[in-house]
Amino acid sequence: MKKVLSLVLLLMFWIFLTWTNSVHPVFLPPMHSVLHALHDLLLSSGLDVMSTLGRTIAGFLLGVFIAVPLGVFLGVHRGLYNTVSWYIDFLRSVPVTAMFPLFLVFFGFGNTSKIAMSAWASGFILLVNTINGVRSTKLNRRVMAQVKHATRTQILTKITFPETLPFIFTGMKIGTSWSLIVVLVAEMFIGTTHGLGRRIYDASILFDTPMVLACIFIVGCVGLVTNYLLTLWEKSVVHWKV
Amino acid sequence: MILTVSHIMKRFQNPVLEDVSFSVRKGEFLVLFGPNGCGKTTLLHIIAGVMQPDSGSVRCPKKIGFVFQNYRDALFPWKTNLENIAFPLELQRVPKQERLRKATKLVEKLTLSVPLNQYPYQSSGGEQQLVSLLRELLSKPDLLLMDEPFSALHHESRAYLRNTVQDLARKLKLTVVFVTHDITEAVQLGDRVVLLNSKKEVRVTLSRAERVVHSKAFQRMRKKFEAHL
Ligand SMILES: Nc1ncnc2c1ncn2[C@@H]1O[C@H](COP(=O)(O)OP(=O)(O)OP(=O)(O)O)[C@@H](O)[C@H]1O
Ligand SMILES: [Mg+2]
Repeated sequence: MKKVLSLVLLLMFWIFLTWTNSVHPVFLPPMHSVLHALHDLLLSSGLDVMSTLGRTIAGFLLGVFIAVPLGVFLGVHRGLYNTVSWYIDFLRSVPVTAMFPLFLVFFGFGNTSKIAMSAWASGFILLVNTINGVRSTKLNRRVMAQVKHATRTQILTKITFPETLPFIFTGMKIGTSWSLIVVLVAEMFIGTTHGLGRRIYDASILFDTPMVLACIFIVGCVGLVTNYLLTLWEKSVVHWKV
Repeated sequence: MILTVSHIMKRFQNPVLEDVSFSVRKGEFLVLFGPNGCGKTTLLHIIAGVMQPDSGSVRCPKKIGFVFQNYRDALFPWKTNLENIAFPLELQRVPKQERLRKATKLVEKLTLSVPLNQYPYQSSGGEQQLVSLLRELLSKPDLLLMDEPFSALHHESRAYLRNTVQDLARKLKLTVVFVTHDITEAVQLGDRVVLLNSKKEVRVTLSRAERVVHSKAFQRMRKKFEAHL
């Protein structure tokens, strides 16, 4: 109830400010123009929303499918991890935005490079989380199974992997936001025919603040919904942690 | 002899186990007694075959059970208590329905009260440790290794589980190697106590009836035991 009330107050304050012309519309446009832009965006250019969402999901899933198995593998093989951890630390310290040129050279200007960048960003977060998860699994659980002559595969699938799941979920929650960020930035700077990033960029050049706000609103909703869905999923899977 | 440990040596940065030898008969309840950090867990790991000694040898049956001090690290929080108990059968690829049925049957046979359909984190420490004990019993081990299994529990559940283990060991004719640094535990449970520091052995000559903490014989045995420390 308080949440709704605070939202209503905020919106009324907005209407009041624009009504009295106390703020220049470039900074704060009237609400109806933002709603109009939102309507435009969703109906006539739903493709923008879908493109950004599609790239984000594709990049994120690609990141998950590469990083989680790799992370489990590196987490289990400690010797190997100690040798390559230096590279991992270096690569994840370089913002992916700094590597745009390399991605363009390798994957071109189309969807592929945007998806690859978004996979890279979320993948490294997932990789590090998965490795940490595997390395923090409890020795006793493995000893118990080893004593019962469990195979290595059994230990991996029945013990190590489920024990790592809470870390993987944390990685996924941070990873999705990074995938979204990178897709937006890539759309702004590499360019695309459809995409929210491009929309924001174009609107900002034209000082079309209503459109910028409408895009921000959509992006915020996308982020909020993904996080909500992931949290629901997390609660049902790793019920012992949350 | 069902277990023979001969001249085990193990060092990490410092020597931990130096020339440890003892053996255990079938059906015997052996207590390994020693202060913190004297290498008790290391010794159990070596017996269980998950760690190699620097020298010395172990002859040990194939089927062993292992109960840990920290039950939180031993049970699977993503499985219910019943599924945890049934885990050894899962490793043997017994179908789910059948292994859950067998686990339930074991609990009923031993007339223990365990919240089978709860998750470990919804159960008390004592219940969790009972679950990990039952899990080990389900695979009918020839040798049960217990590493300070009750030291992380509250006083009451500790006494309850001590009595439970005493009963089960007798009923199921278990062969047990039980690690502890609690004198009461050692005297109540052990047929024989090996003192790891001094390498002495104390035979606990108490009858079944005398193995209650308040009996005169128990206190006498306890005194005798303390004299060896
Ligand atoms: N994997 C290992 N690497 C290095 N040192 C170890 C390792 N395992 C044990 N130690 C050392 O060996 C010594 C004995 O450890 P251990 O856990 O066997 O003792 P413990 O008698 O079981 O102690 P506690 O009563 O605290 O359980 C300790 O000093 C410990 O630090
Ligand atoms: Mg120990």
